[in-house]
Parts: sequence; C-alpha cells; structure tokens
Amino acid sequence: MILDDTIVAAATPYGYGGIAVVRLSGGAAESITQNICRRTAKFKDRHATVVTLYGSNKEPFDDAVVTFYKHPNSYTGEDIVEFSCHGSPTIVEKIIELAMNLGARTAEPGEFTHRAFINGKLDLVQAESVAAVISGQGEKSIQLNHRVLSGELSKKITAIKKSIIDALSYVEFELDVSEDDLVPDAVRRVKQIISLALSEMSLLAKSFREGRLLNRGASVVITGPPNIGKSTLFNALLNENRAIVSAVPGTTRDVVDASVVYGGISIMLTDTAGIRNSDEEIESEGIRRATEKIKNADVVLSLFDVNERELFTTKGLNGSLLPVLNKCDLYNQQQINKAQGEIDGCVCVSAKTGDGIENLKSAINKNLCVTENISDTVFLITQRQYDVTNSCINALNQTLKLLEKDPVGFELLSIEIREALDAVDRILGKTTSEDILNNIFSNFCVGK
Amino acid sequence: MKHIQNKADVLVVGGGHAGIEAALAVARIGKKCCLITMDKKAVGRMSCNPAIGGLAKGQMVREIDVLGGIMGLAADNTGLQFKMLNRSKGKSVWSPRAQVDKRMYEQYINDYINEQSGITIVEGEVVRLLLKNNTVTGVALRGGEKILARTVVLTCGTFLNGLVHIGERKVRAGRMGEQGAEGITEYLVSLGFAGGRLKTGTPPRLVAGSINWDQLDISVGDKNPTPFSYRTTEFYPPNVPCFTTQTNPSCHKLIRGSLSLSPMFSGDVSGVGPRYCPSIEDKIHRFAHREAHTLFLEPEWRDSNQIYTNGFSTSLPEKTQIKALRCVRGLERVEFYRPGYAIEYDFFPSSQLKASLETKYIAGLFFAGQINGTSGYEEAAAQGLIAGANAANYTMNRDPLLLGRDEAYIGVLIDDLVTKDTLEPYRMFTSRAEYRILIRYSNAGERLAETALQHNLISAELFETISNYFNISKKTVRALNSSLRPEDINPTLVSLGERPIKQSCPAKEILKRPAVNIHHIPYNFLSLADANDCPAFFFEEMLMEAEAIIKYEGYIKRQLKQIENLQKQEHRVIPADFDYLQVSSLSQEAREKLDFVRPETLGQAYRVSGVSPADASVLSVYLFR
Repeated sequence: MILDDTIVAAATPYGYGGIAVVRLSGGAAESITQNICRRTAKFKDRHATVVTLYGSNKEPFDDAVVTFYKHPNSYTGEDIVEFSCHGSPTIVEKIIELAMNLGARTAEPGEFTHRAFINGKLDLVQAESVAAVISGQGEKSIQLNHRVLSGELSKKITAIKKSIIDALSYVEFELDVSEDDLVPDAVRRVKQIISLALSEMSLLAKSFREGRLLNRGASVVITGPPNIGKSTLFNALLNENRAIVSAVPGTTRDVVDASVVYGGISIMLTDTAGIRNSDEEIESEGIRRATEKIKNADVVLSLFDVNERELFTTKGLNGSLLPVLNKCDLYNQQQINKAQGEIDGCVCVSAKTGDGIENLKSAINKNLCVTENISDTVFLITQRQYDVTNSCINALNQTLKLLEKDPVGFELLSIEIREALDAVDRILGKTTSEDILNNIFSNFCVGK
Repeated sequence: MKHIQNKADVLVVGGGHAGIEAALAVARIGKKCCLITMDKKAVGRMSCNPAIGGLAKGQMVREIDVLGGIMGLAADNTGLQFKMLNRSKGKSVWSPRAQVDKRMYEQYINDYINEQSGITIVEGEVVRLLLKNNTVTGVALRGGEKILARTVVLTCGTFLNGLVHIGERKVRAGRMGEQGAEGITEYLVSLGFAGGRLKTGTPPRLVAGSINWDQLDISVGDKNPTPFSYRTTEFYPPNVPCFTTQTNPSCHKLIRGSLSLSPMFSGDVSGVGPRYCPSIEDKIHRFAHREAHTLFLEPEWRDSNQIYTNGFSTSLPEKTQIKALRCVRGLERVEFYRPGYAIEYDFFPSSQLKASLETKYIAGLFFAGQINGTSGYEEAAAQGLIAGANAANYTMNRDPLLLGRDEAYIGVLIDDLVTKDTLEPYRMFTSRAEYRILIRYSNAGERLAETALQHNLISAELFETISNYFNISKKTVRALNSSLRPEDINPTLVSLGERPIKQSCPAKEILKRPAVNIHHIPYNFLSLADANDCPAFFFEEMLMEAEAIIKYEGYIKRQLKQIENLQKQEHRVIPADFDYLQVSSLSQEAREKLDFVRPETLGQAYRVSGVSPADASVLSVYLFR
C-alpha cells in the first residue's frame, strides 16, 4: 500500500440510479476537484457546494453537489471530497477518469477504511465492523455491527486489558520493588484478576458463534424420513410454494435453499432429501448432500410422526437438534401429549394447516441462542478476533496453572500475562503485522 | 594561553561512577585518557546511599564486571554485607546487593586508577568545547586553558546547575564557586542541545550515638555470599549487620500536617521526581492506607558514626524531619549530621544520542551518566563504560560496542535512553527487560565475555577464567540430560513429599518439578570431580545457573523465538537525513517525535515514545516498500 497519494473510487454500486457518489481521499483531493469544477475558490469544510463538472474538452457534462471534509476530521483522516452526481455509470466513470488524469489513483478494496485505521480514526475491531455493516443482513446484525463500529467491543476489550495490566503490575511490583519475600496476598490478588479476565474473555469467545450467526445468517436444515412432510413444512415456513410436494416418497432429490428473516435474524432454510437407503444414483447423491448440510447446520429440524418415532441423529452435529412432530392435525390430543412427553423439547406443527408454525419459528430462534435484547451485549464478529481471543484465553489459562504451583514463579507469570496482553493488543490491531492488515482490508469492497 | 601537552585520545569530564568506568575502559583498550575533575579528592565518591547493586542494578554491576569495569571488584573488596535479593522469586530476577564502606570504596577506586597506566588526572572546570566542523577537538577550562583530544566524554551530570531544597530554603549547589557564571549547560544549550530539569531526593544522615540500637531489628547479609566480580577469588566479607525500624501513624500524621512545606511535594520543584524512589512525604500521601514504611539504617562506613536513613528521602523543613523521625521506634532521641534535602539539576534528553552514546549533532562528543537523566551509580557506571569504550573505538574508526536488549540490561538501558522520553530520573528495573529470563545475573559471563574480549576490554586470561566457570554449568546441563534410576532419586522425592518415579527418567525432567532443586540431584550423578580449582561461590553459582537453564528451558526457547521474529525489522537502517515531517500519514505527534529523536534503525523507531503501532506500520511501508 502507498499512503501519500490521492485515491478515487465510486462509493455507490455500479448501475443506474437517482444519484451516484464518487469519493476522493488524499492531499490532492481538493485541487483535483477544483480542477474538475473549473473553480479557483477553496471549498468550505463540511459544506455541500453545487458545482458544474467539466470534461477535459472543457465542455460541462453534469451538475453535482460536492462535499468537502478537511483533514483530520474526515472518515480517512485525510482530505476527502464526495461528488454526488447524477446516477449514470458514464458520469461516474468520467469523474474517476478525470481524477486519474489529474494524479489520483483508483483505490484498492477497503483502502479508505485502511487509511482510516492507519490514521487512527478506527481501531481494527471497528474497521472490521465496517465491512460487516455493509454485508450484514437482518436488523439484529445491523444493530450489532453498529455497536461494534461505535466502539462498544473495543471498549469491552480495553477494559479487560486494563485489568490484565493491573495483574501484571502486581507481579512486577513483587519482582522489582518489594525486597521482601513473596506475600500470599499478591498471589491471591493476581489469581482473582486473571480469573475474572478469563471468564470475560471466554464469554467473548462464546459470543463469536452468535455474532457470526447474526452477520452471516443462520443455517436451518429440515430432515426426516421420506414422506414425513419436509417440503410441505419448508413451504409453510417460507410462506410460499417453493419446493415440489407430492405423496410419492423421495420426491425431493437435491437440497433446496431459501432465505427468510425471523426475529431480526437472517436464516438460510434448507429442504433435503429424505434419508433412506437408496440404490438410485441421483437420490443417493441427494442424500449425501443432505448429510453434509445437516452436519454444518446451526439448527436441524428433525421431523417425525407418531408412527415414525425414530429421530434422525447423526454424530458430529455442529448445531442443535430440534425435534418436530408434524401432521398434528391427524392426531388426537392424547397422542400428541404422549409424543411430547417422550421426546424432549419437541414442537408440534401441522405443515399442511399452518398450525404451530409460529411456535416453531420462535423455537428456531431460541435454539439459535440469540440474545433477545442485544443492545447491552457485545459479540466477536470475525474469525480473526475469535482466534486471537482464544490465544489470549490460552495464556490466561497458563497463568492460572502457574499460580497453582508452589512456589509460584512470578517471573514466568509475567511472561504469560504479557502474552495475554499481546493477544489483546492484536485483537485491537495495536500490534498487527502489515500482511495481516492487508489481508483484512482486501476483503472489503472498493470505495469503502 | 596554556595548552596542556601530551595530547590524549579521549577526554573524560567528571570523576563520578560514569567518568571512572569511561576512563578505565579507554585505558584498557590501550588509548590515552585524560580525566578532568573539579575535585581530585572526590573521584569515585559515593554521593548517596552506601550500597552497590540491588534489584536490576546488581545484574548491571555483574555486566560491568564482565566488560572489565571496576564497580563490582571495588564493592567485593569494600563490602560490609552481601545479600541476594528476590531469592524467593525465581532465578532470573535474583539480584545481588552489597552494603559498602563508602570511604574504603573511594580509596579503592583511587588506588586502582592511579595504578592504571594511560590515565592522567587534571583538576579543572570544563566550560566550553572546542569544535571544528561540528566535530569536537578538545575542551576549554574555566581558567582559559585548552586541552586537545579527538573525543570528549561528558559525565559531569551531578554538577549541572544543582539547586538544593531544604523545606522552603533553596541553596545553589554542585557548581562550586563563581556565582552566576556561564557553565557547560548554557554552553550546550547554545549549541542547540535541548535541555531539561529533574529532581531527586536524599534522606537525612543520623548521628549513630543518638540511636537506641537495642530497639531496632537486625538485618544481616547472606551466610554464603556471592561476589559481584568474576575476578574475585578470595571472598570473606565481614557481614556487618544493618538495622531496620518502621514509621508509624504518629510519624505519618506529623508529615501529613507539613506537606505544604515540602517543595518535593508542593510542586515547587520544577523537575520531575523519580516514581519508584519516592520521598517519604509522597509515600505517605500515595499509599495512605499503609500504616508503616520500613526504614533501613545503613552505616556509611564500618563503625561509622554517620547513618544513612534509607527509605526516608525528604525535603521537609529540618525541624519537621527530626520531629517525625523522633516518633519512630529507636530514634526517639535522634540527632542529624545533615538533614534530608531535594536536589534539582539539568539534564539533556538522551534521545539526542546514538546507541553508541555519541551525540547525533557533534561528532566525537559522548554523554554518559546523570547528564542523560538517569539515577543511580550502576546506571551511570554502565553508560560510562560504553561511552568510554566507544570513544576509544571512535579514535580507531572501529565499529561501536552496542549491546542488544536481549543481551544485557546495559543494552536495555541504552536503548530506552535513546528512544524514550525522560519524564523522571531513569532507574533500571527488571521489568524494563522484555527478555528478563535470558539476561540473568548468573549468565552475564556467558553473555558478554566474548564481546568484551573482542573489544579488548578484558584480558584473554580473564576470558578463560570465565569460560572455565561456565564449563561447569554446561557439564552439569549435559549430565542432567541423562537418566536417573528410581533407586537413586526416589528417597529424596519421597522426603520432599513428591511423587516417586517408576522407571528411569532424564534427571532434567525431575529437576523441572517446582519443589526440586539442583542439590536434590545426587552429586555423583553430576560428575563434576575435576572442577576443584573453581572458588566455592562460583561453583555454587554455576550449579544454580544449570538449574535455571533446565527450569526455564521452555520459556528460554519461546523468548529466543520471539527475538528471531523481531530481528528482521530491528536492524533495518533508516537514512540519517530521512524527512519525517513530509510523511503526512504519520500522526502529528509521531512526526515531531521521530524528527527530534531521529532513530538509527526501524527497531528503535518502533520504541520511540509517542509512536503508535499504526505509525510504525506507516513508517515501515514508507521506508521499505
């Protein structure tokens, strides 16, 4: 990455629209804009100015609104100009071309945010949430990413960091200042602080599954024996006739996906072939694919009826299993009660009549373990954050292990605690190598 | 105008701990040295506490010794008691300390210097440097005499515009004479050096006869002490006891009532005071929950009638000091030789130096000691030795002697000095060393003897002596790699309450258990029969060293790995004329700091105060894309 030049990119997606936005960032942003507008006056900081845009042949080609953000009070921390022009791809391309002729360069993916990070406008956790905000689906995902972007997660991690530093200073005090023998009090205090930090970091690590669920969407897979009504349930949950339904067992061969939003969470719902021994090549392949989907699902809806009581189970299930008694409309209350009594946590529905479908939806959400009110919780949102959190947890565990020994090696404690601190700094991007940074920002779209 | 003949290679200005080590290093390397001091009688004087070493400082004394310095040997020969501090806390932080006889110490140093050929001592006050094209050519004295030399090492820190505070009384001190005259500080500032001001405190000196000794607690040294110096072969220190007592609530109440009268507390002192060596008024204010602080009553020399009150630095009015001390057990009728006082002095932020301790602006000019904002004899001596050696190297166009942060506390000290802001007097702590496990006092010889030999700082004979000592620890480690039979170790394990072993297993695995130490391993097993000519204290130390190597094995490997990962950027050289102000992506603070400090390598740049990791990655991209 080069840092001292001016970059340009379209900030709105390619295509026709009401308006389109082109963004320039860098030391030459203002002069390039003056040139395109054939204007000698400076732009007023944080003001929108109506201008006419001129091509290289000095012919005007569009009227636009230019907003100027003087550094350091801008997204990237550099001078930024945003052109809001009419939403034609030709106009957008023309502005970019003109800017490039005047010395700007097209931005790499995520380069605006990378610059914001380098200039200290965002920490790494916040920067990561920018990508998540853009790609996030479902209201909860958006809420969560906004909280991370506004620094809630960083604040939480910084608070944990502070307590780890406290523990380290106890240790260093014993090694560096106190000439007395070790006081049991120091061991007790360090243990207390580290245990607390460990439990908070563990909670964060646990939150990753939920955070990822909110951001990427959850996967819910329907399975069960042939002809139990999986496709009918699929359609009922979607509220449309997506899958083909028939009375012939083995109608569904391939997996069928559709996306829905329940309670603010984006869900990818999958219908699968009924699992049975089949010699038929296509059906066998369908069953293989179904098994794969089931393994990786967040929630597996396992259908049964009062006659086919055997629940689908598979070893190595990553998500949770939610038993669903279908065709309730065919049974009397006694039969239903009996099934519910025998199968823990089962939900009764009739995919055909729609009875119990709302109950099933909330049971799905409950199984996803998504916190009802996320406005006072924070989640880890990227795999990177999760991995580094785990190395911090390892170091804290090592620390506690050392504290159990007799005598306690304080100089070793210091090494482990420093390792935990280093991990925390890596989460925040305070000590993150250039390659990792480039990797993170290259996953962004151009223009952000 | 008089020119002093017999032109020296190196002029050392100042005869304190830094100046002495500088002059001796120059002489050992074989260059001619002229040491200029304001008072010949004050050479080697211990102006503060009567002790050498201590936490992190003891390690530095050992390092100075391996590099051929005098401090450790002098302490071994004049010590009253020796103690290994931190013995309960892991071998990498064990720190030796000695109480010494100040008079004998000073005498020992003087005798040693007089015997050393190649050093001339001149009395005089240096007021100006002689310069040509930003290169030093000598110095001018107060009387107008000039002394020529290719290099100058300034170590006159304790004499820079000292201002003594006793209560609200202020006395100019340290400058000895001519009032209001322009001194070396003003001259250096006129050359463009940035200056600053620091403060430090001293405790009162008590009259021994006025102390009720029966009321005090006794603190003695180790029964089997370890000397500082690898050159010491006979070692029988007298083990003179020290005495301790404790402050109490009524003493604290008195001090608290007079806080407004203390310039070190009230903010009347413009310099910044040391955080870890706080005055008693600061301690009482900041650790308000503590009802008592330990005071160490240290004899300044053997049978001294003058007692140093370690732990009671103060600048309160004399009357308050004495009233407060008279509340303390054993000091009910105490009298002063001299009250405690705070002293303020000038220093020159050491980020104006290269890692060789040569100034960045004037070639051939070196700074060492308190002039760089450090506090403590050991910190001063370490810098003096490096500056002296590098001044000598400079005259021979040789590469400077540089020690890494992973090699020595001295390396940590100098790297911190040239990269970090000095907001308070710099004192060494083990926690400043990120590779603390690797730089133990017990492996100083292993770490530094070869470098010392290469730079002619020690003789081939001493190098061999040190190598022979370390052969004992190496042999022991080898022996510990072989297997022990259950019948040879189980009785010991059982008596320690440890789980016995069922089949033969490498001795080192048993030694790694926290409750087991090297002496629990059968002595025959270590096969050290031929190590008889090693003094007992070093033999014991080498066994301890072998134990440390085994116990720390995993951690040592981890730290070595970390160092390997950092090496790449550490030594990338930044062009001396690099224009930081032009790099607009650096934060304003980083731009200004880097422009002031002008780091020599990328590794140094990363450690400059005010440079964030984001700035560091910008810099790396800029310089090496």
